[in-house]
Amino acid sequence: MDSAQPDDRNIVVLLKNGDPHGLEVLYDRYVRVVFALIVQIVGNRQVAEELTQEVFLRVWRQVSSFDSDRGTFTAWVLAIAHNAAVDEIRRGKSRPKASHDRYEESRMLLEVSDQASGPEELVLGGIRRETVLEALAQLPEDQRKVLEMSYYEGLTQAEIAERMGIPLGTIKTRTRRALERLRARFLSEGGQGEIL
Amino acid sequence: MGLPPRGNQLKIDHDDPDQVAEIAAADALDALDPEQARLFADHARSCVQCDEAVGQMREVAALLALAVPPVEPPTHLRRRFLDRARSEPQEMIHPRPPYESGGAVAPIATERGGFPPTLRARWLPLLPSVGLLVALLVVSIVLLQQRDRVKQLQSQVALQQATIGRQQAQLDRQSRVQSLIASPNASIRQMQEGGIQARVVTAPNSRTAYLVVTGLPPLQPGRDYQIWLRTGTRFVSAGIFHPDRSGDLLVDAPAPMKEYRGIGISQEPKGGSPAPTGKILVGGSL
Repeated sequence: MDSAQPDDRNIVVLLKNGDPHGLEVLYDRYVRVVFALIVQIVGNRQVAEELTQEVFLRVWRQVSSFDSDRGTFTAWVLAIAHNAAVDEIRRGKSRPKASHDRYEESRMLLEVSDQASGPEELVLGGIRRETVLEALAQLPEDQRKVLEMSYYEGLTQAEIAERMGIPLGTIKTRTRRALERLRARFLSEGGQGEIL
Repeated sequence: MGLPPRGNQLKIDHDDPDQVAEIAAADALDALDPEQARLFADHARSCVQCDEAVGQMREVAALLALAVPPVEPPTHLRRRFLDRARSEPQEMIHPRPPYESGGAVAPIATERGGFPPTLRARWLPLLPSVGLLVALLVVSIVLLQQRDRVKQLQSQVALQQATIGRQQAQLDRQSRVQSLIASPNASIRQMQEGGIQARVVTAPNSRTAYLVVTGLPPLQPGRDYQIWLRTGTRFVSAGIFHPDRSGDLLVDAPAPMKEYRGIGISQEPKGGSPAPTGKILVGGSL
């Protein structure tokens, strides 16, 4: 196990105790991932800055509601970030990047990041970024597509069905199978006890 | 087993794990319609199966954030966030999120004002319920505080009443003693037996005697002191007592004191006796 979970536990303790030091630790640990996710979804850095700040403020204000028995702190923080970004684009004030093969885009950027960033930036919850990219790449194309359209573009399943011209039930099935495959993959990769 | 259809319908067959997983996956990805998300959030609050399913899916969904290459935010954002956070109070919330509200989080107010529409759509219908819950919580807290305050006040009143009662009894006693001593026919008798000394104030027509006695030996276990009034050869009980440090007591006689010829004190079994069974420790004529 890496030090991710103990770090998160310490962050949660600091935050729940109202310790301002916890703010710095929280921000430094998560800001790159949170900011990148929001930029990816809303496609606007200025809006992403504002939302990123609001996400971290939300974590700070409502950390007392975090229950480690119901999930990891990482998932909680990233769920807040994702939801904030998705709501922003659904409000219509920002638009996601043009839809294309995000895996290829990520793969290309990963190569840049690997050169520019330390390994700590590529690991979260015990899972390396490269592992996630590989797992995504191994998904059937139709499953990966619905996953990307919902997670990175903030589309509802009904919107995806309409856009792709296929039944809603098929979208639901593909989404479920995609997440189940990823979960099985990450569990087999040794992610147990970390984020999964 | 399914949720009842209502408005934008959401039906879950809990006997079908795939269906549960499907809606959980959609919720974890924030891919449900706002109304569906709200219905599912309402449902998941009381459904362990759905709550666990969406929890597992959210853990996987969170990993998808890692696929995005990390982006360094502008340096001023850190200072801006820290400054603002330090001026923001934390909220005390019972642990329940992140898996509530479908979108895992409650509304986020942006600096440009208002709530994002999806969250607004999810939460606005809940506002009356939330408002009611908050109002009930506030009322409950106020009532609990008032109940505690009332209990505190009741205790204080009881203590004060007890004090007043004791003081009133002392005043009554003093008044009776003063009335007796001030009586024109009052007389004082002194009695002594060994180290025991007694003085008694009586008035012929009064049924009260004021007795001051010192030097009585300690009471043996299971015994009481008993006061006797003698009519001739017959003793009438005037009550039992435990002497205090002042040694004085008021004696209530069954008949006016002029009916009695003498007074005495003995130790008797606890609760008293119909007639003296022990030695008269101190006594004399009236």
